[in-house]
Amino acid sequence: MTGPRVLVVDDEPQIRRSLRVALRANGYEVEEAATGGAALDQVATRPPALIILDLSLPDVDGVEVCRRLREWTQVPVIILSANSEDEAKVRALDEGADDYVTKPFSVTELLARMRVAVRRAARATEPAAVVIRAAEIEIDLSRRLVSRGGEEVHLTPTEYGVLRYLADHAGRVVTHGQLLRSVMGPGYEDAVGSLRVYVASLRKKLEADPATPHLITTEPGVGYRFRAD
Amino acid sequence: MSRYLEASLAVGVTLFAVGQIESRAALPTALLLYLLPVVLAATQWGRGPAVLASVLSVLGHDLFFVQPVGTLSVARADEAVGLVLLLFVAIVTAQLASAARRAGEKEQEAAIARRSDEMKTALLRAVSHDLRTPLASIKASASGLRQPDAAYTAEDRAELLAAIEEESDRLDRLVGNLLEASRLEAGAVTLHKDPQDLRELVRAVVARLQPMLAERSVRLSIPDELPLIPCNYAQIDHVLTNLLENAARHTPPGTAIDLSLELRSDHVRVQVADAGAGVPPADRERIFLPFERGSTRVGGSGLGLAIARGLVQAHGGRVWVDDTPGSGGARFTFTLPLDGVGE
Repeated sequence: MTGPRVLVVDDEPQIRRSLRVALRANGYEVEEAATGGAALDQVATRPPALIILDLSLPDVDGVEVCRRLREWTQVPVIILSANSEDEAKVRALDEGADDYVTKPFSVTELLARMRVAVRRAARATEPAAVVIRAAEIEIDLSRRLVSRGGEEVHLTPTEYGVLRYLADHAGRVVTHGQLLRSVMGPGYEDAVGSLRVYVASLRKKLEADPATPHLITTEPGVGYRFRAD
Repeated sequence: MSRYLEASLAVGVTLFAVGQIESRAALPTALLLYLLPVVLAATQWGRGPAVLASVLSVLGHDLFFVQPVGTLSVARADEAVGLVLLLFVAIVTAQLASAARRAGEKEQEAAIARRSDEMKTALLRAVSHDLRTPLASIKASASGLRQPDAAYTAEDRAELLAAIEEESDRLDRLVGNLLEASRLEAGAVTLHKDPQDLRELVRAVVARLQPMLAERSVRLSIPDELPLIPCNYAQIDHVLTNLLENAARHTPPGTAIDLSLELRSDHVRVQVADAGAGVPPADRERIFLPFERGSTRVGGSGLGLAIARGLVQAHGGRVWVDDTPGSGGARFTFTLPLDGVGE
């Protein structure tokens, strides 16, 4: 049995080796690239189902690889980065990466993120759903109605915009910049403070326990993630 | 204290110069001359000496050149006004000039502090990245091995375990480098030399580093006979380890690394030559500085070569890099003096 094909892009042969063994044992077919240039070539000739991308590469850096990929393909990209590359991580997500895992990482965690990313990509090819459901929340996109446990919840237009954008990207990390650009328009990318207020108010209206959110979780220093069922 | 003496001396010289001016009637010109030692004192020695220079100028001029000469009394009203003005202008000048000097000093200190902060940040970044990379392989391998439901073959398990062991060694080398770097920085490297057989040392290091060198073959060129060389085994092991690790980092797997030992008139020469991209002439000194990595973007803490140089120099030897003849790769050479053989 061969499962989805994964391209592992990392200049450290030791990391590639551990990933190759672990991912193969979990049913993935693994391909490797040591440089950004090689990665771009390989994706063009044999598009994989998923890309695991290190950010510090010897030739083209990971953010740039992400940007060039997004010019023509929506293949899911999971960033694998050391903590010291925090800003680069946000830039990569802004350039369209789906998720990130911080080094050192556990294989179990990485596998869980990979499953979500592959599933999300498969869903993206289906016709868009009119109703999004997560836990006891229902978002009816055609009527712009949100209900919790069957009862209608009143949201302001901005709150609805934030929720809608998060739900559209369910399972994926959405950066503050992406959210602000899409909901408030260009030029508001720095208004992270006001974004916090909208998210807090959404949580109050939608979460069972707003203090420990499950529906909209915080990715510290990066953005938010909407729970995918 | 000598700053005050120097300021007084400068005033003395000026007084002498004023004494040489024929027509002392040109009072304003003479008075302007006194601003020279004041400004000099303010910019070179600070505010105190500048104020002293101001007061000494006024007193000296009064004493030597103002009627009645030899006393501090002033006969003419215009000269009295001139002296008061001189004192005022000199003290204001002293204040302004020394304030400018202090501002300059503060700016310099701030610049030094900024640079040192940048160095620390670069260091922390490099070190944390270097520590995390082997840790990432170790954690990925260990967490993989702990997965209850994955289909690992015996071969897979062996490979993950090997990764854990090799990456632990790499962490250990890095920590060793950090310790050695801080010792070199503090000038606390103690050199305990013993006569050593470098041929054995070279073979032992190459054997130990085999897993890290991966598919790179090391071609040894070792003379049949070599006198014992007085050196610190652990430190020369460290130098050679760093040079080989550097070669492995900058060359593709499958290429060869040439390691040679050669006896010269008064020293022994060790060379590690690789078939990589080489080091451009402009970078050949810089790469030996701590946290410099040349123009490549290959990882590494930027400590290894700096430590190699520090340890070799502590042995009275030299280390440098040039081109590998033929391939154009990097050839690192270090020397150890034969002094004291047989001691």
